Amino acid sequence: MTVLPYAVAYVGILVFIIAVIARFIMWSRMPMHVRWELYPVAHEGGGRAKYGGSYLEESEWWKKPRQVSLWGEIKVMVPEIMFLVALKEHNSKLWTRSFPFHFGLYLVGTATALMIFGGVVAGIAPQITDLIGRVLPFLGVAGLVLGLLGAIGLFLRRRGRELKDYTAPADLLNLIFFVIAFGCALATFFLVDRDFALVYFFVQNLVTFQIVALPGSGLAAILPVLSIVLLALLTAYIPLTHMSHFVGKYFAYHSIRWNDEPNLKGGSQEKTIQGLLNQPVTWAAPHIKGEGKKTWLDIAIEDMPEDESK
Amino acid sequence: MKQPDSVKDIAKNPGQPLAAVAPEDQIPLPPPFDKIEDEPPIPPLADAAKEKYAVVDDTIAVNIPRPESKEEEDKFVQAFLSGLKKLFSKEDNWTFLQPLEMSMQHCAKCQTCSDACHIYQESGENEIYRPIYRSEIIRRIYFKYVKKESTLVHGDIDLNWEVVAR
Repeated sequence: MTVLPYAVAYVGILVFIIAVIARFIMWSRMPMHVRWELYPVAHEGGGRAKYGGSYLEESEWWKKPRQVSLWGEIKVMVPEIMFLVALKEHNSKLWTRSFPFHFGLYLVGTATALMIFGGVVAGIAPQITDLIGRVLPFLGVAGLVLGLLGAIGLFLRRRGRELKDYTAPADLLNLIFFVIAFGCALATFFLVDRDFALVYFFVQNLVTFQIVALPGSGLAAILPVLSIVLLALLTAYIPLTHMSHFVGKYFAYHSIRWNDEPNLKGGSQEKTIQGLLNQPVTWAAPHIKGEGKKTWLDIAIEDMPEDESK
Repeated sequence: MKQPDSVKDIAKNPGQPLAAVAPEDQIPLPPPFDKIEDEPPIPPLADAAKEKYAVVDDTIAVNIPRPESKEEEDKFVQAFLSGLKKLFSKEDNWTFLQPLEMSMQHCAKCQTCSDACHIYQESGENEIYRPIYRSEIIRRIYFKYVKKESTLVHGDIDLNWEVVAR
């Protein structure tokens, strides 16, 4: 029983890290795609982002330095990530459930990160460790309550008339998993760990690789271990499912929506495009007959065959 | 309102429309065009048309003739699957691969597209015109028949000539 929560936590964290890296590599290895002309582009400089403009409006733009604003991106991305701004604007009914769910996750994640930090600096700055301990109950409870309510709200929405047919069993299982894990963690807080001292003790041992039994007996021993195991399994599970959209979102914004790199002569885009145009295609339509031999370039420049049916 | 009960209905009831739009189901037009009695009804398809072509609702925009044998039907379905696989190949579809895969994997079924679709709204919210009705069919076919992943994760669907032609 002593080793179980530590073992599951280490494995959960490792699986999470590996899975996130694997998904990042998967998306980043996908080839360049044809640009979707979507505006506004948040990093567009020169004051053009606010009206959805582009450097391409400038005459002889290729002779002028490009103005790219990192602050422009941050101004859009931070509120979007924190408060799901676009969802509130376009689908406020869903936002009332999705926002508390996600914000609850952020608070739980922040509480976990602070516990890890507190554990790391405990030996050199114990006052920081203590301060974190005092903040934890507020962050932790707020996060768990919001996350739990949000998960229940999303579950009920999935069972409603509009979404029932578009919901697979796994979609419901994912939400039930959150409800059980967060519910168990909240029960642990209310019944046996009102100041989060037990879970903080566990995390401090975890990050300093000390396998020390959690104090307590009966419910005080079982509940914290159950919470830790459930949350660790949930952590490992998330990136193995479509809930890994937090990785995909990076590419949805930076590759699909906002990649507006110009294709300049001698530039990296030109080289990439030339390589892609020389890919062979297997398109079997009678007017193409790619057969894995003809390339995109071949097909683009060849004469069309006579229509034999005429 | 005649509409499909489920995404899976796309494979059922061969030769029968899945949906019908009646003027009383639609959002009223502004005056002076708001009198329902002045709206011409959409006539149902003739039985001969339903026998000969694939049908979804009471219109036929593309005449896809029904195959004459099971072999022809299977060949059509296999050709569709072959084409679908090519859509997810770097060599055959680099132009659209990443956005397509993003949609396949991360559509959250939030229905924002449904609220924004004027066709779906104007039909009186007939399920056949819900934007993700169609994309969900492709998504389920992709995961079940191309990636061979569990239908418990991505949803189930049958694949036959009716699905492809509709």
